[in-house]
Amino acid sequence: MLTRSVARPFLVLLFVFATACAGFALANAGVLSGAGVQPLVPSGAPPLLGAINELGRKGWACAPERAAGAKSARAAELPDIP
Amino acid sequence: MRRLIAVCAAALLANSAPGLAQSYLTPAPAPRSTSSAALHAAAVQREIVERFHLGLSALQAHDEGAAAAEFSRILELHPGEPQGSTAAYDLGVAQANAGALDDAARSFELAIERDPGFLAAMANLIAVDLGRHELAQARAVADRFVAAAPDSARALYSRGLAALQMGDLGTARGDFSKLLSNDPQYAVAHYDLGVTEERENHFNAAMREFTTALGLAPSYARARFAVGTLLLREGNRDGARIAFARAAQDAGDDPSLRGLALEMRDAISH
Repeated sequence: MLTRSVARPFLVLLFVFATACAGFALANAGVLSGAGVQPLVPSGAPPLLGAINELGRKGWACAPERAAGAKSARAAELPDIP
Repeated sequence: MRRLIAVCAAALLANSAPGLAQSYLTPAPAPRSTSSAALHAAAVQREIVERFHLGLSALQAHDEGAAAAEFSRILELHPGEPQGSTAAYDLGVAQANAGALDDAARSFELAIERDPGFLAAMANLIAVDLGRHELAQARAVADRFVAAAPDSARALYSRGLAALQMGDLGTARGDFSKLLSNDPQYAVAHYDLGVTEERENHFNAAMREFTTALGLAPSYARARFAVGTLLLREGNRDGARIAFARAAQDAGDDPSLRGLALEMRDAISH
């Protein structure tokens, strides 16, 4: 009888502790898996190149065509740091 | 002495004249025929040139509808090259600026059909296709673009993005790496190469790219956020919390990234 009266509060305390531990673990798992759930997003599409006049794309004065073929990111008018 | 200065100035002007002359459009030649067909052709050509001017002015004024009307009318006049492909290209720019991405894609396709080496049209078609999530189409055009201009930063960046979004990580890595070998200071390509490595679970390589990007651009919020996710994966909660806090601080123009970074920071704190 005495054993049962001591054991019951002990079991209740043990249950509460276990529940708290489980909750903590789940919360942390949520944070950790958050990195996986939120995949890293690639950069956005490059902005459009501008319009061209009636002389067409060939020749030194056509900035969009030169940008399209440029080797460096800046000359190519690629996106800068957002 | 004055005469000497005048002679020098005249010589200088004479030498620079061809360069200055290139700044101006060649005036349309006066008609030298009485043939009605030739006069009609000359009139059509004058209309085409005038409509180009009107369309470009409308684009500058952000009046996309008026610009599209001018370039459409030019196409109806059946111009030769390069004016046909150029009108189709400009129509695509106007349509894309107005948000009509499907129409813009068709116009850029027409420009490339008329002039298969038109790099700017390829670049814009890929940008539009990425915008409307037509990844396979973007990739096909990007392959042509890279074949036509293997060192073009835009070609490599665009194909890298399309490949990354389609899960072709080998091509994405190759394109971003080549872009970086030509332009190692381009932080955005380091970031995208980092994302590519992260998707292949090459976390050390990913961290190296993200930290390189941050070395080039310390306020690069997206790269800072990526570092936070990798630190969190390693179990470095304090480091991750600091990275997310800094990402939130730097993501001023990107409210969704800012919200996400704050959410991650707070989730670690509590």
